[in-house]
This record gives sequence, C-alpha cells and structure tokens, in this order.
Amino acid sequence: VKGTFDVDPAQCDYGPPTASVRRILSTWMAIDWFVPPGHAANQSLATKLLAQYNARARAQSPDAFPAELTTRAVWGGWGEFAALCNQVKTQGWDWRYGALKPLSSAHSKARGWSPEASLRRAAPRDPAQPYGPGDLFWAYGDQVIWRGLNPKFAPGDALPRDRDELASWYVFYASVDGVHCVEWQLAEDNSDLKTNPFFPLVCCYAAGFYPFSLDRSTIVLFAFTE
Amino acid sequence: MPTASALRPPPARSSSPAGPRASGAPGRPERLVPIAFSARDRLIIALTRRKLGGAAPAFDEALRALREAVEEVIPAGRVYLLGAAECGPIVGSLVSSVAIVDGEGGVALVRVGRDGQTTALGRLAP
Repeated sequence: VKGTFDVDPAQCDYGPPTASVRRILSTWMAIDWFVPPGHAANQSLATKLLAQYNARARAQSPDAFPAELTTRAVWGGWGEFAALCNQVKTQGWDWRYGALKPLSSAHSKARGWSPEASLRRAAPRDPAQPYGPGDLFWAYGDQVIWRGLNPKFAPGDALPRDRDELASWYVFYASVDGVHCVEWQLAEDNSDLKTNPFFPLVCCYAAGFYPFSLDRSTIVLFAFTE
Repeated sequence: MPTASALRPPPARSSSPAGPRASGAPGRPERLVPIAFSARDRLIIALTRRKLGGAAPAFDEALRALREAVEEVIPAGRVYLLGAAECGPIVGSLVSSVAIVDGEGGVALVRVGRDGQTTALGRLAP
C-alpha cells in the first residue's frame, strides 16, 4: 500500500533545505505500508533508527526525552497490529501530543519559522494557479497553511474494510511525523539531516517497522510477518 | 489539482452574505453531534467559535480563527488544505479529518473521507 502525497518532490524549491525536503518526501512516498520488512536485518536497523531519533530529540529537549529508550520488536499480523493501535489510543500517554508535537513546536519557535516564511522562500510560480506541483504551502488571503501532505493510498491499493480504518488511522498519524520532519528542515534552513529527529522515524516506517510508544521511555517496533 | 477559482480567496468582505441556513436556533452555536468529534476537536471548535464572537463569519475569518485555535490548543498544531469543494477550499485536521468549508448557508463543519467525500457535521457558527 503506497501512501502518496499530492506534491512532486522534484519540483519543491525552498532554497537551502530543498535537497533534504525532496529526500524526506521521496522516502515517505516510497514506503510500502503494511507489508513485511524487506530484509531481516531491518530489525536492527530500525532499533538503531529509534536510538538516533531519541538522541536527536533529547539533544533538543533534554527533559522531554529519556536518557535510555527501551525498544522491543513485535512481529505479527493484523490482530496484533490492531491490539497495539487500541492500546496507544486508550492509554494515558500520547506520544505525538506528549512528546513529538512539543518537540517540533519548540524547534520551530526557536528558529523563528512560520509557513509564511517558507512561502516567501518558495520559487516563483504561475500566479494564475493556487499552487504549483511542488508547493507545500497555500495562501488564502493573509493565511498560509500546509497543503499536499494529506496522504492518499494509491488507486488499487485498497485494504479490506476491517483493516482500512486502522491502516488509515496509523498512516495519517505517521504522516504528521513526515510534516514535522519537513518543517524541521525548513526551520533549520539547510539540507543537513543529521540533527533532524524526525528523519530516523520516517526511515523506520520505510524499513517496515511501525513504532508504538507505550510510555515516555518504551517503544514497540511492530513488523508484519505476512 | 482543484480548480484555481475554487481555491482563490474571495474579495474582502466582513461577513458571509445572507443565504439559506441549516436548521438550528438562530444566534446560538449549533450543538455538535458528540460521536463525530474527539474531545480535542470539540475544544478547538469551541475556541474557534469564541474567537468569532458569535458572528457568522466569512471563510477567511473562519480560517484565521480556526488556525489560531489549533495553534493554541495543540503544540505545533497545524491546519491543512484537505481539498476543494464547489464553494471553495476544505481546511482542517490531517488526523481527525474534521474541517471547515464554505457553503450557501455559511461556513460548515465537515468530515473528509479518505476518498475526498465530505460528510456534513453542522455549522461552524450561527
């Protein structure tokens, strides 16, 4: 299942961060969701990526991220995936609202980033169109908001109805990590991805391991067996 | 890509033109269907309505109020262009898919399905 965006990465042009933005979007759009990892070694890769994510996040917000992150892999089918989705939906701890969004917000504020700033940096486009194929922002009057990052599953990649809701929930939540990843680079105003804590997360999804944060210091990496 | 005209801001105006309205007590926010909204959605809608001060807003005013409310309620809260309807853009949450869209009866709340179809959830303001 491919989750495409309505953006052509090759046509994104935001100055110095352009190469990294294109890489993030291309990595995301290449993900084949809900299939087993392509290689058995991806489990150790995913574990390393999670450690990278935590170290980079902790460098930005030492108090919000643990000194030691515990990760464990869980392999299974849709039943196990559903159980993990339900667990994180109902537990008290919310990874995205409790850790990831505050991290992104603090970073963007510290760098003075705004959608308006990125719109000003974008390459000129046809004024007759509301946006171009590489535009990540859209202006309505004096309001500038994100566009193009509303994930869509490719035609023909429909999942059975009982799985579709879960899959959509997970991918839409995960896509916000992709947005934060792009925003981080736009705020950094360069193409060096080495400090971006969200890029290892995007790479983790691409490796076929789906993180579920059970508490502030424990993440389960789920992978499909078939 | 949605048509350029659907996503183009209208000429400046201070409020929505008069037009047919959905049912509901005039002058008071429509009650939300509880099952359609998360607690976070309800908080954001309530704050958006407070910012609008009970007036029937033009879409650009509703968009500004919604964006401010999302940014106040959620750290790194963002609104997204989710699509376009006949009357204009559909703007809302990537996660909950609750959005606003302009309509003949004023700015409406909708849920956007994965197929891009919208389900009406009520009016944003009276």
